[in-house]
Amino acid sequence: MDNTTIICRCEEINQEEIEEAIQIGAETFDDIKRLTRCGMGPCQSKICMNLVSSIISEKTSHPLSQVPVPRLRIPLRPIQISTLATGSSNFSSVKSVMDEVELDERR
Amino acid sequence: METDVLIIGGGPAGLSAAYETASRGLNVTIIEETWYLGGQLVQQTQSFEDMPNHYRQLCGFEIAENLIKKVEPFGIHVLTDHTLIGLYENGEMGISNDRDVFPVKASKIIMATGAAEIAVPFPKWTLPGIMTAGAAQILINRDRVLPGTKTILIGSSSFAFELAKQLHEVGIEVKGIVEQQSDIVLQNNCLIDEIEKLNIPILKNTKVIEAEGKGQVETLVIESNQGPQRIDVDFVCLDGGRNPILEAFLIANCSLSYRKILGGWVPDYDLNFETSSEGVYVAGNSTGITSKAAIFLTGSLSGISVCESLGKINSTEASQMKNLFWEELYQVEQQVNLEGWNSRLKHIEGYMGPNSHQSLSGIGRKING
Amino acid sequence: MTKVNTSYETIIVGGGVIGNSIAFHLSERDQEGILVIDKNFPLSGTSGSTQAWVWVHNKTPASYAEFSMYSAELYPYLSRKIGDVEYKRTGGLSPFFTEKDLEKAHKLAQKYSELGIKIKVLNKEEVLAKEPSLSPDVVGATFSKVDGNINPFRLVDLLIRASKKQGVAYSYYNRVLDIERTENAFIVHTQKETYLCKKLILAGGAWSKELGSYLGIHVPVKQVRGQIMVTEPLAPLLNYTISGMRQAINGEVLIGYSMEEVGFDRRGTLDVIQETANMAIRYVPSLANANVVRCFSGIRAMPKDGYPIIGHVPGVQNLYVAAMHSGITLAPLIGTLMTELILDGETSIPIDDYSITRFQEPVGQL
Repeated sequence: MDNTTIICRCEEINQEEIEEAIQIGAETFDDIKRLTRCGMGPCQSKICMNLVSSIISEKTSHPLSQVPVPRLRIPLRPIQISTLATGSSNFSSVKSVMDEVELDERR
Repeated sequence: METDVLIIGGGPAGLSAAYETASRGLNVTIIEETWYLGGQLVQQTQSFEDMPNHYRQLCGFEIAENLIKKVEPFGIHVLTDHTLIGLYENGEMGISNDRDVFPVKASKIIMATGAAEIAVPFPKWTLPGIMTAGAAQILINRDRVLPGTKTILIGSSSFAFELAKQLHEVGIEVKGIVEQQSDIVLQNNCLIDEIEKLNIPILKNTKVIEAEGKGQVETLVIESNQGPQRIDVDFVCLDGGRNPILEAFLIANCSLSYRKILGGWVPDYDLNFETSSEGVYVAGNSTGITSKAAIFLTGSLSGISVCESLGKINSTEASQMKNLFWEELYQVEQQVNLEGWNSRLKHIEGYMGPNSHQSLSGIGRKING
Repeated sequence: MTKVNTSYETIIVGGGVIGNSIAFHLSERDQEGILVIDKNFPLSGTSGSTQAWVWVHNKTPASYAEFSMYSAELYPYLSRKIGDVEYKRTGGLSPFFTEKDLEKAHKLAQKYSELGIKIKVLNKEEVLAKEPSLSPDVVGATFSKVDGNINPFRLVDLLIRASKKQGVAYSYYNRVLDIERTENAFIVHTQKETYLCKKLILAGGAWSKELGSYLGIHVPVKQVRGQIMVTEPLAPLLNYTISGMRQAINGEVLIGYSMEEVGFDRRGTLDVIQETANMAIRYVPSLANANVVRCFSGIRAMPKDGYPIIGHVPGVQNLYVAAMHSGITLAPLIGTLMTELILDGETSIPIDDYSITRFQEPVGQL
């Protein structure tokens, strides 16, 4: 297989880019993903995960059992923001920057 | 929404689990991401020798119809076009139907998410017209659309051979089944004979060099020891094997182990098919891909386990039922995939500790006399 | 078996944006014998799971905003040295939706102006003229020209590449297990090896507390989980970096500003993601139709009082610490100042306010 073969179709990442990441020390799918964007697109690594794992295993000589699966990201399928939204404007863990502004000099 | 049992996946495993649980009076909800029940069976026009006995004469879609009819009387809550999308802080599953997201509170969850096909990369494999074998089968059998007129198959499992037959039947010219290794994966001589009779070449020791074409695949370049060869095609089918679909298990924080023979990473589970996440069970191909029978029987087994733990069946009866299902699985797999059977036991042992499947060791012995 | 005693002049524990900025700036001044150790792989922690705003305004007290501004000013120079980190000084907008916040904004602008930091308070019409996709419900916004964002993946990757060129050694997947002190050296025990070094810099971010504990030093940093959602690539929608969201060069919009104290649990939850969706629509109504492709969450470092902990650790010769929340904003400045502190013994901008001594807890035990 030649190095220009696309491995991640969503982000158009080829074999060479993946091998370069491995060469600088990447050992997992997620390591490669952050360096190359491989697996960050709409399919969220459903197609490339196995292909990348095989390349890692081949290049690092780690057995596949030592190449962990990517960290899971929700949502499992692309979903519209309006579908996710509940219409509530009560925020508990989501902050606004202005909430954090403290005008009393404490220090 | 609340339910006793939430089943994720409405394919054969999910339906088998649904039958066992709903028929014993549990309130059962199935979520299914397509618009129909039956899973992959729906587009399978072939029959399978590695099926449970009573299904062996039927082809895939007939089995699906059968199963759906079987569960019908029990008032199962079926949510098609619904998918699992995530987890809430309190552990409830988040389900979406594209208009809304809502939590489902379930006493037990059975995940029957099935398996996904693995692609086969080569230069320009992303050209339109190059698809997985499963995609080609969906097109011809479910959607009744011909993907093209001349094709070649890459990979040599039984699925590739079955598909070659079906493509030939609908008038598509199949120019070969390509296998890079010196041996083909399929071990069923009848099927090989059938393919040879149809004059479909089986090309061993042959690798794919690249695809060519403007805007869509037109030529596949392959190479054997007789040199390169250019095959004129308008679509290509890839058979790179399958692996369990894991996302739902990762969401539920289930631990996994790697088992090459079972299809790669597989959720850990015990003899009851309960995963490392309490109350979350697994069924079907996501327990490991061994035989068609395993899909149905692990579905039934997880269903019985759930009934037992919810007090719908006593432990004596449960254990009798479970033994029957295990025995049936052994009968099938000792014929078609003993390696798969052994790997499954090893997988259970790897999670539960040594001798954990001793209760099953009687099964083989009984049969072998 | 561990190999024994490879010696380095300086060991930096932590290969995130802060550790790497220090490594780069130190090695730039010909400092030799530097090793960066990371328990995992670069970008696997906080630096790889951030919206990566370079954010100055809204920070209080004003002196902290000033400190952040100096760092933002250094980004163009850093970019010139290490390569394109996709630094975009878009200007930053903090929209608000209540009259109360409007009042607050005016007071903030007043405080900042005393230190020469310019921020503008925009009324509704002015905000909507600048950023037409914002909701017409907006009451106003604070605006600062100096704010922007970078690509954190490129930043860390390029810092490492440049540092390597300058002779810095790296060891990944190598967790520090213990640290010992001798009279004039540190012995760093790791999974792979045992190292000896003269100077030790703890740049462990959210993991700083554990690192400090090996030396009997309390580094009061807790973990805060932040969850962020990413849309499919959209046509240009946002002109500015908005507090809460930004649009990346490829068109993806990153949305989220959540904080949860759940330790090192990095899973995403629908509770926060749905709240983030509500926030997205409240700010930019047209985002309602955008598809979310993925969400990510990161564990952020949060010093006890929210401010950076940087500098020499008093009582322990040659021990330094650099732990903070806003690592992306502050990285160029921290790298520069730590290098000055280590090589020259003093810094061009005072960092006394950020010394670990402010917590008045017992530090070095030796």
